[in-house]
Amino acid sequence: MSKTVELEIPLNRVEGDLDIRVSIKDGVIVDAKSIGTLYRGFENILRGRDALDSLVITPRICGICSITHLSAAVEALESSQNITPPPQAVRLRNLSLISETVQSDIRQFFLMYMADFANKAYENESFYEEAMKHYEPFKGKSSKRALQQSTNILKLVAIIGGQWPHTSHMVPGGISTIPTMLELNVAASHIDTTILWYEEHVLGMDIDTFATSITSEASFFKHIESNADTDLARFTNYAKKCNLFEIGKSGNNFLSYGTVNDPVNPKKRLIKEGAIIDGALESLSLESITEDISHAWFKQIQIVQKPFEGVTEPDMKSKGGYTWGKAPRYGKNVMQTGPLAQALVNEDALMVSLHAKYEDCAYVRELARILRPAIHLRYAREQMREVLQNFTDSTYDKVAHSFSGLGVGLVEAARGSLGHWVKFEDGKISNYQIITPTAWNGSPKDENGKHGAWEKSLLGLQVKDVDNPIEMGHVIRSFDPCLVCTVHTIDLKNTTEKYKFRIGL
Amino acid sequence: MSMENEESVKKLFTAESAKVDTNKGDAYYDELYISCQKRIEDLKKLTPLNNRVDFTESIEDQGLERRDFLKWASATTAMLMLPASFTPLVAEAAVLMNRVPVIWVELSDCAGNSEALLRSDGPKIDEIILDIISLEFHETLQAASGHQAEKQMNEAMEHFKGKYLLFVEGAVPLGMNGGYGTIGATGETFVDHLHRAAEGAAAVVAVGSCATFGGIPAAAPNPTDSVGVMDVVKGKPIINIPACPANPSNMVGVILHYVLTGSIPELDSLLRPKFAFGYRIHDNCERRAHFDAGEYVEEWGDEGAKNNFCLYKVGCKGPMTFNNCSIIRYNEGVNWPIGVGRGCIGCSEPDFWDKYAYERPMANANIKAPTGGVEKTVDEFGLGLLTAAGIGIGIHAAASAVAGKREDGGEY
Repeated sequence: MSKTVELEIPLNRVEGDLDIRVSIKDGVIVDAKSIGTLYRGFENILRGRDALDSLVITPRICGICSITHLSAAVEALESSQNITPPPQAVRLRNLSLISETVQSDIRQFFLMYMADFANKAYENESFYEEAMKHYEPFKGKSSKRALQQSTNILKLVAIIGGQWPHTSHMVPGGISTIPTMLELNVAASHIDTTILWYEEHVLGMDIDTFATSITSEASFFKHIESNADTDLARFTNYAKKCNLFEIGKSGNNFLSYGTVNDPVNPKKRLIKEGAIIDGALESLSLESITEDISHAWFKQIQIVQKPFEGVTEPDMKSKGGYTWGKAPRYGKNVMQTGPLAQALVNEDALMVSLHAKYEDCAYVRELARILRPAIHLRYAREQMREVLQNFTDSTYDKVAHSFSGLGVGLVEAARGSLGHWVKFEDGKISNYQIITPTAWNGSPKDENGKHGAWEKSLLGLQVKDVDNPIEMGHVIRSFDPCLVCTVHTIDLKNTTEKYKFRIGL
Repeated sequence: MSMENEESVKKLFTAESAKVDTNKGDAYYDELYISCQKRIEDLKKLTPLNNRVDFTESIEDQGLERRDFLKWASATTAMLMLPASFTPLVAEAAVLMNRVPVIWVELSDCAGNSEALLRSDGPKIDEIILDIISLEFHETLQAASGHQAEKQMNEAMEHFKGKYLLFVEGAVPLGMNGGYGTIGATGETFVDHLHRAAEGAAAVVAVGSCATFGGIPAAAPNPTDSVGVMDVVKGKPIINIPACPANPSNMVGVILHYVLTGSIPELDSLLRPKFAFGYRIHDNCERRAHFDAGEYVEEWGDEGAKNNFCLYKVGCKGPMTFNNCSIIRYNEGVNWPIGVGRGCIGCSEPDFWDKYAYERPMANANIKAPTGGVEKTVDEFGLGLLTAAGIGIGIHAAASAVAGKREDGGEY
């Protein structure tokens, strides 16, 4: 039997390995800790290097969101010198970012989320047989189809960006790629193939009609009823049976940096940015973003840090520390970020309507993820059409490589808002601070004792079987946590009992 | 750069790495053929490991025909530098892959190699192989969730003691007594975890630049005191498959070679399989002719870039880097970085983050090329390569020999 929660275990700063430990009393979760278990020190590795090195180093932070980091790094470089890339480059950047997001959403939904309904815990449920047929890991027929499509859409990235993961085509002033007409047409066909699959199997309707006609909670459930043989309908059905409309709520604060840059004015986002505080939408204020290290294993020199001034000095003996993750806050508010936040900030009529009725329950949060391709793939098709129309336009404008001053890159990753804050001096990086979506969602407590979004979503959750806490899986996975996350439960009645649970993909 | 550093760089990029012996003579191959045949007969007697899909069933399921499979087998035979006559054996070995247990652990990593393996290569034959391969414990891929995870690994290590291949992804942080990375409920450090997993392994395969040479966590100032697997594991055969990410074809190649022959493939001085790292990027580059003609991209987006000229002057490290990506490319052969006008960053070479980060053209970095001579300018370097062209020509010849074998196979 393994040791208990008091044990000091090291955690992670960016990406990766996270544990969640909960204490359960009388079948109800009474405390939760989100713990990063790996520290790699990226920010310290970046300091002192040539400015452009960030373009190859930061994508390596995460093998799943490498294009997102590349986008943030290039935007930070450009923002420091007021560089505006040409429209054709913006379109092609949009396309590669959309591809990465869409493939991630597809894989998370099918391979991680739906796979949970094929869990043995449900073997006596009426839906179990169907869930096995469609979503059994590596074998279910819907999951296999989805895997093919997510690979298909990634070929778009390979054409535009050279390889995936760890792509490197974006440079300050545009992209290095000069695609041929043939390559672009092949890329366009990859988009169409994935759209066809998505319409037929996931949505049961074409994405344009869906966007214009399914705009309320009522019309959505009516659509589901008449399209029972879709993944959307199956998910909704299982969610009802597994109580997902009730669990996983984490509060009414949402953050999105916005995505799909306007080709002619790249500072403008076609899916807009903003913050929702207590249900009220406001414009994004970067000044409000801070990081709190009161419960992290860093030197407690300054508890609340502005990203530009952020210091990352590991200290496992720091008082109160239980994670390598800092706690980002927005004007002292705990925020959640991801597809639901993106849709609500963008005032998407359907998601606003669903959220009004069911709040940020696990169902609504996961639904926002699998409905996002409906929006993003439409943008992809439109961006590709414009790319083909402007085929001869330049993808790169010459820029001087003399970087100094402050740069910020804000991007929406599949899991939510990602920001790079960089100080450049004489062409070198003098400080680099990164706030990932998982840092927001999976943050530890702050100096005011406020739990992070994951932690909060678990408090009060009823766990039927400590040996197979499937409810926790449904809740935490609805946030799409970064890879290799584990959950440990501690039953307070049997303090030695401990459970380890895989969450991430 | 001091003399000492230059010498160490020279050592890292030894021309010996480039010596690929693609024809070892009939006697050698005849003997190998017989031993492979025997090995396959022995493997056939074993029962497949639990829960693995039957390979032929899986092929049909994906709508792939036997012809596609044989095509793949003949290409893979060529990749492994075996004569075409080995194709049927390679095909049989692929079917028998589910008899060989593979345990995969992740340390200080970004999961990019798992992702490359799981996601980038399409649902074609390579991916089917990964579905059926006995990844007994893989933190990302394992289907079973639940508290079985640790138990499953311990059982696998016990049950397959001395027989499993251990794949390791990620660097090993040694700093703070290993405290920068822990795993599981007990808080076992990565370094202890690695020692324990390596103990019963038949061989250890380090996948990706972090596991092989420490990679990005080990980049200056190496905040976590990270090293590669070969600096920690002693007394076991070690195979390094560097690159960021490692190419899934090379991972499959190593496993297949082990299944087929029962031994690890021939390695270079950095423990990299020669079948994959015996080639210099530059020598098989699609833009090589432009280098020879002195046609260079001077900056992104210029006329040279529009004409796909050589990227050497904008910092391409292809001439110093050994890997087969200029031959097999990435994402099912769709593309590779050079294809989109970005130079090679040398990601399969040790310490490339500190020595090379892409923006510094080699001429300015004052690095000694593997063929000798401190190059001051691109032209001088090019000249050096052309006059000392032995290696280049040798590799072209090797590549043609491989291509010839494919043709002989009749399936390409």
